[in-house]
Amino acid sequence: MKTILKIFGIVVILLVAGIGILTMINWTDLKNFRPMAGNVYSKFMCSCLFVEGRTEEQCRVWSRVVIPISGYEVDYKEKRVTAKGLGLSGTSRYTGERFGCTIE
Amino acid sequence: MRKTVRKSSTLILLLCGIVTLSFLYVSSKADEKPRKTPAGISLFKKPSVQRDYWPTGEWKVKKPENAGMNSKLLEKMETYAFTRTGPEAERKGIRTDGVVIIKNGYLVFEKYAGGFTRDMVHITWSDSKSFVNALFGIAVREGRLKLDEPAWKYYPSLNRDRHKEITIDHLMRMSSGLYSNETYEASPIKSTVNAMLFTVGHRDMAAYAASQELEADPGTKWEYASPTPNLLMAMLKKTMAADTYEHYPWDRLFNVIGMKKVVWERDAAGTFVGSSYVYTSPRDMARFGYLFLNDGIWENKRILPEGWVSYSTSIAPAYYLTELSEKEQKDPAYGALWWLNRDVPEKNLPRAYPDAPADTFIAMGHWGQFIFVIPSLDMVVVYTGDNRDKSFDNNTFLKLIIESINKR
Repeated sequence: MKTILKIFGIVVILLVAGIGILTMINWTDLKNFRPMAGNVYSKFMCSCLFVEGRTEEQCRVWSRVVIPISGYEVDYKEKRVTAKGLGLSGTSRYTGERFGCTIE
Repeated sequence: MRKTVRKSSTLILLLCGIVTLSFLYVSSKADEKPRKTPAGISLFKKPSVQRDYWPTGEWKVKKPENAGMNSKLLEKMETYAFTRTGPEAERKGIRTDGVVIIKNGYLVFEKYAGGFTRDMVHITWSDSKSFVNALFGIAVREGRLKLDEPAWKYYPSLNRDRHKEITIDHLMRMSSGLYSNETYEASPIKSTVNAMLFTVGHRDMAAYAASQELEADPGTKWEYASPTPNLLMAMLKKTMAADTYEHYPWDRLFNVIGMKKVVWERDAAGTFVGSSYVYTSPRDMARFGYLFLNDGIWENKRILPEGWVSYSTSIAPAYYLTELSEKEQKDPAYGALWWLNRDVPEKNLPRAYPDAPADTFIAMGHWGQFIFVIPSLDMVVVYTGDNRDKSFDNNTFLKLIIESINKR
């Protein structure tokens, strides 16, 4: 029993250390990656709704990517979409008939 | 005395050794000089027909039978492309949004699905790169720039180290040597496409492209890189006034060939996103393909320079020098911002779509956006979709279309 606990403890320590080291190595990439979720979703949603002119339901299906978002908001009057994911929010705005949406 | 002789002979021997070694070193360096690259010969041959109309206004419609096609056999393609499997929310299988086929200058097939209609625009993703190609053709014709000019002339931050050796031609042929990691989902945190479009690069995508280090000497390595066409679109901006640039794609290209509805999104720096963000309808995509099918001529007027389509459809010289990954070997070959369905015997590579002619060239975008231009069949095939997995097979799709030709 004790040996099992010991082995288990070592495995946990190794795992934590491993994850820690991986995080350290990829720290810049991970930090840079955080705005991804909100930016992708807001941009996809904005272009799908205001450029392609599809329904919000269709756009929700189309805009979903691997990274989950915790919520989004469409401002139909200002033609803006804000989405939140990985603790950061991203906003994309429709800028006109020819130029579509741009991430703010 | 003897000692001195021995000493000097050792010295002489040593010297001889050094000389021989350095000679060997120099000659090995000489061998490293780039091998002679096969001449980039294009398979493009303009269909030898006189057009009886141009689709600047509207496409004229013909029954497949009146353009040498069999509509019964074409139904097989329709079944293949338009049968959706599974519920919408799962996004599985073949998810076609639109197909348009132009044969002998006439629209012979058109169908939409997935909530799209004839007049709606669809994101084209990397088909945008081929639109960048056309704008550069037009700019070259107008004398705004030349292909063999150094890129730094139009993007000064490239005037550093070996970056200054990058030419416009290198960028057009994805051979700049600038670092790139072209994956969307496979390695999302390391992907330069993701970083450029959505995180550290999105405000000024050209600046992001130009800031990359070289991973190979300019012109020696072919690597498909999305930042590249955005750099090109920023360089184009340098050749004209800001308000000319804003209207340039419409004034010189879209309106000229009757593309009715085009959206081209820009980054926050005001540069058109040449890698990804042209939105247009399948009918308009067909007009763009038709411009290239006709060797850059529209309404009997030259839009692209003479030889431009041949340039665009010759294999990039660096492509021959590059050790291709397994995926790259399966993909079509590469010209200048167009993909080429041709065999590359020099690399022992068969063409990507064996059932389509070797002169087929392709604008190819994420999740299944295609403009197939097939000069030998006088045909343009447009496909839009939302294919999230690998169910849709380009070869099968093209095969089913081509099999309907000349069969009664």
